[in-house]
Amino acid sequence: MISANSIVVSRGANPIIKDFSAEFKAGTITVIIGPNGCGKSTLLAAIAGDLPLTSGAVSLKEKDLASYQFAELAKLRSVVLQQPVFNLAFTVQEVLAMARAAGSTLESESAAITRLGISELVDRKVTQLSGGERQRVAIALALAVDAPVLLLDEPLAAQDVESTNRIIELLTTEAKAGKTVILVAHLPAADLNWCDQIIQNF
Amino acid sequence: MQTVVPECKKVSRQNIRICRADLWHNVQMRRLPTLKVMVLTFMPILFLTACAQSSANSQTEITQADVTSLSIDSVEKLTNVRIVALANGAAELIAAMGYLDNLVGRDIASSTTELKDVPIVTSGHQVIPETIIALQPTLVIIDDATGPDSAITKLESAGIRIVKISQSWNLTDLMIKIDQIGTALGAPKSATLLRNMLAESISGNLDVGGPADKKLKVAFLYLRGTSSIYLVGGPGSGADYLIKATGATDIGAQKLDKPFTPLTAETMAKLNPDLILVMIAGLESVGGVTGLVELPGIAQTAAGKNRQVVAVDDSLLLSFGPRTPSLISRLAAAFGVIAIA
Amino acid sequence: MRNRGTFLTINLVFLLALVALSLSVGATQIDGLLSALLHPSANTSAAEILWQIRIPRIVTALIVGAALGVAGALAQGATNNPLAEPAILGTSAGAALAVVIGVLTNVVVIGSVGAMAVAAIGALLATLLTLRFATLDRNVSPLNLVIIGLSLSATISAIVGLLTTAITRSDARSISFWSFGSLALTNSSDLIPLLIFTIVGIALALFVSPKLDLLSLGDATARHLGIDPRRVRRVALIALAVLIGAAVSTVGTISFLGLAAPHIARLIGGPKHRPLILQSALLGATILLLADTLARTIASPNELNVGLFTALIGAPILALLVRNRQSSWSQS
Repeated sequence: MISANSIVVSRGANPIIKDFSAEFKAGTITVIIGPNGCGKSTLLAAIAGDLPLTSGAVSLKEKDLASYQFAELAKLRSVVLQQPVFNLAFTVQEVLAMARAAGSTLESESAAITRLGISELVDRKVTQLSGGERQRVAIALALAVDAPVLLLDEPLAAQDVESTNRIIELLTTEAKAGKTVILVAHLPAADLNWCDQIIQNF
Repeated sequence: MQTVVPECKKVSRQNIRICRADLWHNVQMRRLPTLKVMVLTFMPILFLTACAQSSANSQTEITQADVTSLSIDSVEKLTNVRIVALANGAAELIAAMGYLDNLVGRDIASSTTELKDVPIVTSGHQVIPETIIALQPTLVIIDDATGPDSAITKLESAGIRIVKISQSWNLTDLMIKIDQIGTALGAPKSATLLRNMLAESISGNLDVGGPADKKLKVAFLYLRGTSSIYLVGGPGSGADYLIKATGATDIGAQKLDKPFTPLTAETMAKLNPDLILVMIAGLESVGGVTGLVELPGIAQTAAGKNRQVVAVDDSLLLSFGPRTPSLISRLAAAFGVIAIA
Repeated sequence: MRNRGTFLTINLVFLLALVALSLSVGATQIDGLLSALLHPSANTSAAEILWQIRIPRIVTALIVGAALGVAGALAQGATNNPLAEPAILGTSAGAALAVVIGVLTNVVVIGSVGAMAVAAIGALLATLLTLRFATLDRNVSPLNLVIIGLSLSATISAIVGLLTTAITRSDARSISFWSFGSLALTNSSDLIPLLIFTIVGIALALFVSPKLDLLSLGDATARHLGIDPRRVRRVALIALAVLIGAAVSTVGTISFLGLAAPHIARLIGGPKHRPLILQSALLGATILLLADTLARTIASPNELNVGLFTALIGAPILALLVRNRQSSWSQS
C-alpha cells in the first residue's frame, strides 16, 4: 500500500534519515521505536508526506506521494500528531465535524467518537480537556476520515492503561479491516506482540 | 458719500491717544482742535521716549484690546441676507462693512469682541454642516482653507449658495478680498468704501523714517517652542509688510531670501536686529524673554542684549484686515519710531 | 452555554432602537422629524439635515462598523492569534499610507472608489509584509506576529504622519481631518462603493469561514485534512484588505473595534467562523453607531474623536466578558 524507497531526509547539511527503505502492506500494523531524538517523528512525517525529501521517494498506491494534491491525499492517509493543536474552544462534536473536509460523514464521526470512548465529552470544549482526552479526540478525527492509511505519532503517550488497551484494540481492528497502520511508540519491543512489523535503529 | 468721524481711543500702557486711520495724516483733525493740541503736546514726549529707547529693558505686548477696527456705515442696505462667514477674516470684514446684523454664523478663528454674539459653526477647524443648515443662511463664504470638503459638499446639496474667496497674505490681496466679499454680498459700494478707507489710512505710514541706515532694524521670529520650531521671517513672511509700514526696516526681509528660514546663530549674527517682533503665544512657548535670549544667537544681537522685544497677539499679527491700520500705528508706537511726514 | 440566537436578537433590537435615536439627535434640534423622514424632497431644513447629513452618516457607521468587525474576525482567524486586529497587523496603516500617497500624487480623492482600491492594495501589501517578516521556518509564532505587526504599523503610521503634515495644497486639506478618524467625511455618493466593497469582503469572509475553522487545528492538521493553509490565508487576507481598504479610505483609522467586536462575539457565540462573521458585523455596526452618535452629540455642536468612544465602549465590555466567561482561546 505505502512504501518508502531509499529516502534521505536532512536538516540543512545533516542527514537525519539515511537511505531508509521499507514496505507497509495493507492490513498490517507497523511500530517505529527507538530512543528519544533518533528521528522517529521525522520518519513518520516523511512517510506522511509532510517533509521534503533530499532524495528517494515515498509511494502510496504505487504513485509518488509528492504528486498527490492536498485534498486527494487527505482522503488516503490520516495523520495524528504527537501534540494535537486546538487553538479555539470548539466542542468535540464541532472538531469532529471538521473531518468533513476530508470526506467523513456524520456516521463515521459518531462511530469514531464511540470507539474512542469520548462520548461523554462531545459537548465539552476541546481546550478544556486533558492531554489524554485531546489525544483521543485527535485520533477520533483521523479515524472519522476512514482513510486506508493511518499514521500516528505517540498515540499512547498520555493514556492510562484502559485507554491504551482500547486504542491498541482499535488499531488492531482497523488493520484487520484492511487499513495500513503505522505508529511511533515509546514501548519496549517486548510489549509489541500485537504488531506485524517493528522498525528500529534506522 | 459718508463722512468718517475719527474716534480717538486711549491706549492703556503709554497714555497716548491713538487716532484711527492715521497717526500723522488725520485730515479730520482740523475739525477737532483740542485733539490736535493734545497730539502736538505729546509729540515731544514721544520724541524723548524714542531717544531713550535703547537703554530700557522693554517688552511690549500688543493685544486685541489694544487695536481698533476700521469700520464704515454701509452704503447698500441688505435685506433678507443671512451670511455664514467661514473664510479667514471674512466675518471681521463683513462687520467692518457694516453688515454685522446680517451675519448669522462665523468660524472659530474670527474672535473679535464685536463678533461675540454671532454663533460659531465650526468644531475646531471642522465645519459642522448641520448647524449651518439649521441657520438657513442665504450665503456661505469660504476660502481654500475651509474644510472638510465633504462638509462643503453637503451644504451645496442642501442648496445653499457658497462663494469661495481668496486668502490674503498682503495688503493688495486684502483689497481684492474685500471686493470679492462686496460682490458676494451684493454690496460692492460698501466694499469700495471700506477699501479706500483702509488704503488711505495705511498709505500715510509708508516711506517714513530717516535714511535707511538709521532706521530701526526689526526681525520677526516665528516661535513654537512646543514643537521646537524656530523660524526667522524673511521677505513675504507677512510681518515684513507691517514692519515696513511702521517706518522700520525688516532686516530679515532685507537680508534673507525665503519667507521663513530656520533660526541659527549665524543667521542672527548676520541680521543683528535692534528689536525682535514675536507673537505672544510664541514667546510664551519658549519661556518668555528669558527663554528667548537663550535661543541660538539671540543673546549676541542688539535686541537680545537690550531685551528689546515686542509681542503681538497671535491672531492679530498676520491676519490682514480692518484692524491692520490700527495695528501698524501701535507697532510704530511700540517700536518707538518717530516718523515725520 | 452558547446563546447565539438570543444574543443576535437582542443585538438587532438594540441596533434598531439606536438607529431611531441617532436620527433624532445631532448638532441641532430639528422639528418635524417624522414628516421629514416621510418627505425627503421637502424644502425644510429638517429634511435637508436628516437626509443629507444624518442618514448618510448613520448608514456609514453601520457599513464601516460591520466591515471593521468582520476584518477583526478575519485577522484573528487567519493568524490564529487573539491579539490580531487590522491595526496591529499593519493592515490599517498600509491602507492609510496608500491613501495619503494617492492623494499627494493627485491620483485619488478621499472617499472615491479609486481611493478604496488603492487603500485595499496598500492594506494587502502591508499585511503580507508583516506575515513575511514574522515567519520563521514556515512558522508564525503569535508573539512574533504581534511584535512585527506593531513595529510595522508604527513605522508606517509615522510616515503617514510626516506626509500628512507635508500636504500644504489646500485641496488636499481634507487629509488632516481624515487622519484622525471621522465619520463626518462621507458623502452620499461614497455610500454605494463603500457598501459594495463591504459586501464583497463579507461574502469572501463567509466563503472562507469553514476553512478558517480548520486552521484552528494548526497548519499541519489542516493540511492533513486536505486544505491548503496558505491559500486559505490568502483569501482571508484579500477579504481583509478589501474591507479595511474601504473603511480606512473613507473614514480614516478607527482602532479597537476590530479587536473588540469579534472577541465579544466569540465569547458569547463561540468560535465557529460563519456565525462569528455575521455576529461581528452586527456588533461592529452597533458599537460604531453608538460611538459616533455619542461623539457628535455629547459636546454638541463640537465633534469629538469617534475612536475615543469605540475604545470607551468596547474595552469595558470586553474586560467584563473575559472576567466572567472563559476565553475561547486555548490556555496554552
